[in-house]
Amino acid sequence: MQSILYFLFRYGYVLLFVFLQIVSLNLVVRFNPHQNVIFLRSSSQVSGWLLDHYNATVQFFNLSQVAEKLAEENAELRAMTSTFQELNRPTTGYLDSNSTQKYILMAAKVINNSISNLDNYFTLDVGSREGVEKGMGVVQSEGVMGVIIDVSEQYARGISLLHRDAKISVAIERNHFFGTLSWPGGNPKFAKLTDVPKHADIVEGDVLITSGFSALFPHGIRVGEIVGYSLQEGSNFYDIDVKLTNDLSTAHYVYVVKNLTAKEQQELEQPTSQHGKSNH
Amino acid sequence: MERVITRNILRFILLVLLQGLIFHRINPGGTDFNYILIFIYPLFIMLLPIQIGKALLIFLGFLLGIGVDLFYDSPGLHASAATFTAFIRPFVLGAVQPRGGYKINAVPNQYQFGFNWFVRYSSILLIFHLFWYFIFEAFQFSQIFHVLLKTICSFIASLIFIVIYVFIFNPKD
Repeated sequence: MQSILYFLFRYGYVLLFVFLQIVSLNLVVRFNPHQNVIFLRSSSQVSGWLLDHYNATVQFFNLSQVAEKLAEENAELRAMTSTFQELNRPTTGYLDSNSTQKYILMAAKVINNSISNLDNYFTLDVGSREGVEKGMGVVQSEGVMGVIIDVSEQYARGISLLHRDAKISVAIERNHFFGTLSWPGGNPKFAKLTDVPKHADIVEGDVLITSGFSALFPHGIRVGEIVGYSLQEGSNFYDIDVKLTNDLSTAHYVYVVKNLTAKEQQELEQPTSQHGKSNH
Repeated sequence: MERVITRNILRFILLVLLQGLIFHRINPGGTDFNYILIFIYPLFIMLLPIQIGKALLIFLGFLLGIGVDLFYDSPGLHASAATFTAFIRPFVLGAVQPRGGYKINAVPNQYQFGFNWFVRYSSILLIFHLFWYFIFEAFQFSQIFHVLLKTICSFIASLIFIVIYVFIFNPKD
């Protein structure tokens, strides 16, 4: 006991120094955007390499499943190209109604992903070198994955759909009523749809697609289906339970959406979006 | 004793305000040569009495840094550097100790120890302080060249202002 007291008396100032340094650096990382970004980036730079190798091993065992999925997707795309050829339109990328190319999809591999936290993030193996930018949407072959929030040279980090800040504008395919999809936590296969007005006609089993209102996702990607809804007394909006079409826990290959006209749309919407926060 | 405390409290306030309101806005290098920053506030740590306890010294350094951080919108950066400067001060004092050691009530300033001694002593502390600060500002080692250039340029500019301060106020205790 005495020797502990002696030690504290003699070297307590070193402990104090270390403690205050930890406090300061914690402040630095938490409140300074610059250091925060670099911290995330370098941690993803280091962990990215490890995760790359780890995933290569794990994915080897999933190859048959992945191949099956890719074959399905191939078939779908083949069907699409044949339609486009008939219509005599260019065949790359998503097309909007006036047939100018609006979106480019870039294939990427998910090297890190979580579904168990309240705020989930994922890491992709593409980065600024491939032209990925902050704010781009990420989709799976059958659903929405999330939004890129940080990009390093070789990696991109994004918030998953399973994140408290992720809000995605979706529409009901049948009648085009739109609302906001968000994740309340809990089961990663179910999400909530809000902001659908009470005069909307909805049935269980209605299919939800991305609305295409924001610059992030093209219109018409299947997101999920309605499995239940309720209308609280005094509320003008439905409270809808949604089963997601995609399983985020098994996401291996995804597409980063590059919107060629995003800048134009954002510039146009700038003055109005200051009044209210718009949805992704 | 009380006199020393009030003097130091006043110096603390004056230096934080000078740093935060005046030197924060001065950028002698302009936008093309953004490598010169003037740091005068470490002078507070330099001028504390020699007999001060190490823990108190480090804590005061931290407080000083937080005070400056409030003006710089950079929580933690100055605090980290000032804590470090306070931490190494006893070692620096040991390194520049005059023959015969320090008297019990001595204050490490120009008045008691002479100009040459004070410049030597404050230079060592200042350069460590700046180096630490710029390293954590950059936060990556690929910028080491910029960090060194900033440290050297800022060191020269800051030392000039520290000497001017010492000549104007000539602190005795």
